[in-house]
Amino acid sequence: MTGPEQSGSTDTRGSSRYNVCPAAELPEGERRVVVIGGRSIGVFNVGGRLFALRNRCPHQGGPLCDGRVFVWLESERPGHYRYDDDRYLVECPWHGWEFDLATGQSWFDPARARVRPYPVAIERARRPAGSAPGQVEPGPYTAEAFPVTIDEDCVIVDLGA
Amino acid sequence: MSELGSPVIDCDVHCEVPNVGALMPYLSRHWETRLTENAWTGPAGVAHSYPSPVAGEPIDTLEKLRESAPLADLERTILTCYYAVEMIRHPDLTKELASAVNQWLKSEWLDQDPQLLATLVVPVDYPQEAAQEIRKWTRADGFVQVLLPVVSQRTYGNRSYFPIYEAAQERGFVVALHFGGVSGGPPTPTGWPDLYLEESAGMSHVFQGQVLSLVAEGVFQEFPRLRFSLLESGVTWLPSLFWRLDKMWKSYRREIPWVQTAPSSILRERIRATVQPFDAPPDAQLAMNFVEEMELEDLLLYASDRPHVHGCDPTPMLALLEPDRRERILAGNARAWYGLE
Amino acid sequence: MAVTHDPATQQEDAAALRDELIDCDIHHMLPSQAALRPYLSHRWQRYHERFGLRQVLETQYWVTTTHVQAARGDAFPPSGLPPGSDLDFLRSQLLDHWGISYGVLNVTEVFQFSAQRGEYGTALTRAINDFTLAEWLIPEPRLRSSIAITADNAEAAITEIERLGADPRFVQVLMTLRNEAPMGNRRYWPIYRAAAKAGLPIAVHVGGIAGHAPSGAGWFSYYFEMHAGHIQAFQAHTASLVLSGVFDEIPELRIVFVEGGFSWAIPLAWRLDRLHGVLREEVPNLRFEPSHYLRRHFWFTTQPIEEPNTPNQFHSMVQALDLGDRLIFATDYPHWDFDAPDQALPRGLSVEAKRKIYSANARSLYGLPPAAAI
Repeated sequence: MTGPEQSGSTDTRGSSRYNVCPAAELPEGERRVVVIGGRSIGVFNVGGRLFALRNRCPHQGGPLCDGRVFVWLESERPGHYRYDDDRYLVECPWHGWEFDLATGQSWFDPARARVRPYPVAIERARRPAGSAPGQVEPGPYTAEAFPVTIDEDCVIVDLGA
Repeated sequence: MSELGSPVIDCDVHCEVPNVGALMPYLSRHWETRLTENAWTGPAGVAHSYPSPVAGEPIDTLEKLRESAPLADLERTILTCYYAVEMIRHPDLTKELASAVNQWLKSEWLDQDPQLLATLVVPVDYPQEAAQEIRKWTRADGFVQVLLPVVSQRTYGNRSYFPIYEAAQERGFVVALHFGGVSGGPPTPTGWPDLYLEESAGMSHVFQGQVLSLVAEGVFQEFPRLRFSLLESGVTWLPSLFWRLDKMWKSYRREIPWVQTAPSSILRERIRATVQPFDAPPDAQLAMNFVEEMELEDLLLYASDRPHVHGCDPTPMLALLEPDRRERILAGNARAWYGLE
Repeated sequence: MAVTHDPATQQEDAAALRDELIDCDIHHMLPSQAALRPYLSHRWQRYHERFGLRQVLETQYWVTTTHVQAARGDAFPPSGLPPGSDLDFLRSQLLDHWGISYGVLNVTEVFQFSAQRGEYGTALTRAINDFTLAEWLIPEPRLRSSIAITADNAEAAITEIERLGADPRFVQVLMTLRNEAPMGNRRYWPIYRAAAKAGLPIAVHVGGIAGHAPSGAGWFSYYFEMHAGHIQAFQAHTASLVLSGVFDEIPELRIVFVEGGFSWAIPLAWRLDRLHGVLREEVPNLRFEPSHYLRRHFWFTTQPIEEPNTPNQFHSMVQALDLGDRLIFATDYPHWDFDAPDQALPRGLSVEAKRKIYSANARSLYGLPPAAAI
């Protein structure tokens, strides 16, 4: 789900780390597109691995993270097809430009056509019950707490400095 | 030095078989007999491709070749004899005629003047036989390329043609796509043209379809050393095609995954185009502006395409270039391309 | 896979576009084949269900193309209907989102329907025009449409043009790209006369196969080639039209090339003029040189927009044939190669040049009134 940006809960130190959702809400094969830190970001769980990319294709601004995910396909010669099961591409739903989910680099011009990837991981975090994506400091915790909080594994994206 | 201040390599000059009799010494008894009994006067396809307003005076002797040279200081001349052998349906005759033309080129032209180079003709619709014919010859004979008429029965990227490319690559021959040929259907995607003018104008879009086919089908990956010359193509359609292919290629990876680099970058390495005719504004400066803006210089090979009549002349455009850039188009690019150092 | 969509990013882009926008190529679609039934007689309903469409040559390539239903991945309506078939969703995602004042429809099915032979083709094209009018043009005043015809059945085509041509909601007559003959062929001139008499341009949109190999040199292997190769047919039609003398006979005839690009036309114009200089005696009645007709009688939709290495290369091409008054903007919604209105045009266009491409050229071509609310 998307929603208005959460400006923060427990943290007042301007952390760039954001709690996207409880880990249980992003099982394998699912994705979420959220607005955090003023940016639209797609977070993916592919084969148990997490990826996060800016949700904007550098071509014409299309919603990149709404696109299909494919396994990396390579070929040196006509009629030959080789899959690298450890690499994935997301395909922009508009013109089909494909970007490496891990690095954000396009397959056709890795140096110049790319989107920003973000580090993403599952960490123990605290969030207000019923909250939307927010800037939350993951554990270990101080004594300060919200009236009602939940302490659980969450998907944390780091937007960087 | 020629009046353009540089030696010149003329990459497309047409010699003609003067009459069927000239090929008889190179034909088997069977075909010598059959062509005589049918009083065959030569292939209809040549006149179809070059009716009299554009054919020019045929160059069928060495003397006529020398007289027709428009520029002095011709370092090398690459002869092409378009005999429309691909328009012959009989599998034995098309093969034998191709071989006869090549033998005739060798003994009547290449053996007579070491300055001359030539283009092999092959039975295009029988790729295995075409490969056999290619393998009869080497660069030491004076052949530098293999002729494929640009209108064909299948697009030239098709894997069925790969035996031709394998043999050409092996022998170090360039493959030349040239104006002309037949497809077995109309030479457009949408029916038969009414006019020669229309069909001739349309030849440039057939070049475009063939080039995109070569890219899409992975010919340049399957044959990493193979090079293509575009002869008598008009040239200036290249930039628009480059842009379109690069743009679409980014969207079709999973269909043609062997095309791993941008089509324009592949083509800039693996194709060259002769400058006669050159479809451009008549003003030489405007024509050269286009060449520079679209970065075409490195792709150009000088050619007179004599004796064909095209209504244009590349020399005023070339005269606008500084000497070292001019020299590359007049000779340097061809020397590198055909390995004539 | 559950997908969430963030429209926030695109809202910013849409708001940045201040120009009036006329979209000259939108593909609406039947929600299902059953939706055509009310517009067909019983005989043709039954034929359509039991025998169906009989031109399969183009569809052979679709199995290996890389876009499902040729659509933008985000253009599948929440209603579950196919892309382009849900008017409310199209209003929201396209017309409202981009502030489009007018959109010209080319119904997706036309490329197969108008290639059908005989009375079946006539029945289908008539039905699809009636469907378009009833379910798209009447409910949505921003929309206009092409009149679908069977180009290779001139008599039926003329009947259809005469039936609908006076309705201002139909702004052009549509021929598909590949037909039995090049467009300058005299068999098509009665159609052009009928269209010109109705004040309608002839639009040519990619698609259709009349039975000729798509390259002039046999059959391609890949959809990439078919798609890239559309330019061949446009060039064949251009040469055929300008050399045929049809523009001397029917000076009001206007041609709109849809979804073909335009930059191939510049070297072709030079080539035609050069050859005409040598072969003039073959066309003694042609009053002017070929590029003259190209400049005066042809329009080109912008999509798929040329993407050269530099904006200057784009501008050079436009200026070489003075096409600034001849380019008309199109998105091609809902197809995957959609051009986003705020992103597609290259940098360096003046305010006036953009205004022409985004709306003024199309307004003048189609005689569209000023938009009600801009």
